[in-house]
Amino acid sequence: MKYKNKNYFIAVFKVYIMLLFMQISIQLDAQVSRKIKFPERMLGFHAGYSHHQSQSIGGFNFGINHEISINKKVNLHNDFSFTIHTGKENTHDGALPNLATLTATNPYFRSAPLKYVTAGIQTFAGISINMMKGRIKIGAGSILRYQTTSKPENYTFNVVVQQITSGQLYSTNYRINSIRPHRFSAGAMAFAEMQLYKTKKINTRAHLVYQLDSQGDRIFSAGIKLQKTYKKTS
Amino acid sequence: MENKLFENSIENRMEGFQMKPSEAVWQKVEKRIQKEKKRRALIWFWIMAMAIAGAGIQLLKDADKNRQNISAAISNNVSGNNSIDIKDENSNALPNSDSQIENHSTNVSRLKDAFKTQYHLKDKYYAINVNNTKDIKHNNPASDEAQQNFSIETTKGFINKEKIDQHPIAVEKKGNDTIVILRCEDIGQSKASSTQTATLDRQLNFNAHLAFHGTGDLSGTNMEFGMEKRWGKRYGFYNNLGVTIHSGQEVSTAPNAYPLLVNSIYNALQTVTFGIQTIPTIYRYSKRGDLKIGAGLVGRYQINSSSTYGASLIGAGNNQYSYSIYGTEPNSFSIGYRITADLLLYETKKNKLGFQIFFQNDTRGDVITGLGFSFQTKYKK
Repeated sequence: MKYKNKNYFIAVFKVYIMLLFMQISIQLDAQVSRKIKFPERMLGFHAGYSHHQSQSIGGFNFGINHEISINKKVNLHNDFSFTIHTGKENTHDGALPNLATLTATNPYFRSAPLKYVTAGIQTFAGISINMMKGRIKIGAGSILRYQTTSKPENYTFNVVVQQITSGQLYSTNYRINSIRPHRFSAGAMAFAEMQLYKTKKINTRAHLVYQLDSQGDRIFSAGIKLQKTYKKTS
Repeated sequence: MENKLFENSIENRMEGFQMKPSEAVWQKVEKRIQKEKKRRALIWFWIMAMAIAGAGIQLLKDADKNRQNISAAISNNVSGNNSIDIKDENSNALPNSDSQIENHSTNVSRLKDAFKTQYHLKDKYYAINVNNTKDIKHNNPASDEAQQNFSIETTKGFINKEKIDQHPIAVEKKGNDTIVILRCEDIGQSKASSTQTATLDRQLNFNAHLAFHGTGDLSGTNMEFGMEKRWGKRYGFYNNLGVTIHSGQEVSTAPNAYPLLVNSIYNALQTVTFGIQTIPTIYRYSKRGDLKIGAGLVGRYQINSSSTYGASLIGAGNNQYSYSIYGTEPNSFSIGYRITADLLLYETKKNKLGFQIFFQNDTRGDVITGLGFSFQTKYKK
């Protein structure tokens, strides 16, 4: 009887130990599943070619960007960028070859086309959706933009020819009819990104951007985006 | 039993002890504070005076150039040389505001030293543990408690010393005993310790300025992002990438001497200048850390639309100018220097807001001055 009791107690003890072990393992599993997951955040730099389609001049853009992955599919974006476009007036160079036999009025100066510079500061806030496990992102959002430009909206180009005894002299001039040097505008931007190379901390992406705003400016950009992941500690 | 008696007696003695600084100390502290306020006001006065003087010089230069360009335009000759001499004045070193604290801490340390010597303590006392089982280190026959064998031990290692903030709260002399009572605070709390703040020696900076392009007489903005790293208490290194955007009208035709005809369309030539620059800067901080003065080398790439040109009235009765462009300025790279002063306006645990002024000059002859705000956020690497 004693032996039976002893075996019985041993069996109960074994079952108890097993249950205890199971309980501990369940608790440990529960602890793992209760881990707090912080959203992935990325801070980066982007740069690339840009074309100001309204003014038909090329240039580049660059800036910093911030991205928060709120879940597996959706990301929030916030960018701060600069755009710079430069070009020259085309009529001058188009018209002068036809006047090759002429000499400039003032030989000290050469005749030159008007040069334009358009600079913009803009901020973007938008949302994107991950496709193909995050390799491709497509998104859209709104922009606020300040732009300053030296390009006249409306101007006339004149070539003045003078007949002298030794031949013909010419001079060129521009008459500026209207210009809007400073503009504030709101607009929309659509973009697509493709992952090129990814390490544990650095993510390299190619991105295409198209934007238009309330002042009628349309800008296309293509470039590279470098992003570094970080964790917000507080 | 004897232990308990002794502990109780010590506890009774400790009760109600408070530290009250003497009137003389308070008067000194008040004088110090008043002096600091005066000095702060003086610094602000100098900064405002310099800013107003700079703006005045700029306005005078603008007016001069306007006059020169009008005469130049009439004779169809363009001249645009301009130079500005700006001397940077070194500001006086700030007073040491910690001195009264140092005086106070010196007094405290004297007491501590006396206490330590009296009780033969070998280390700083992080916590006091009274234990009667040890050997006598000090025996005072004038006190009943002192008849017992006791020693005072440091409990280094037992309590995390970094989390203890010690303040001597009372010093009382009874008979020949001198009892120094230490209050230990914040044990186990997640208060930022000195070691934690020391690791936040890097910061991300964003600066935005209203800026003036001296040679082009243009106004605009300067924005820059950068990282700053502290080198010790008094020095720091700041690396950045910035952008300047300036624009302005061609000035010779702006004050048109002839009234425009009705329905006449007329606009002046516009100039825009865009620069990308990096300025590795070394900062020196004041003792309190609220003022920093920096000097750095400028590497700048500039794109601008300015050109050599002639402006002429088209004809009688028209009153409109036309512009003959003779040559355009190429995009170019230049190097130079920049001097910056940054005054701390507001600070939180992680962020700082400051007022900043700068002056820069480069090999192309461009002088850029600016004033604005700097925002800094500390981070750990």
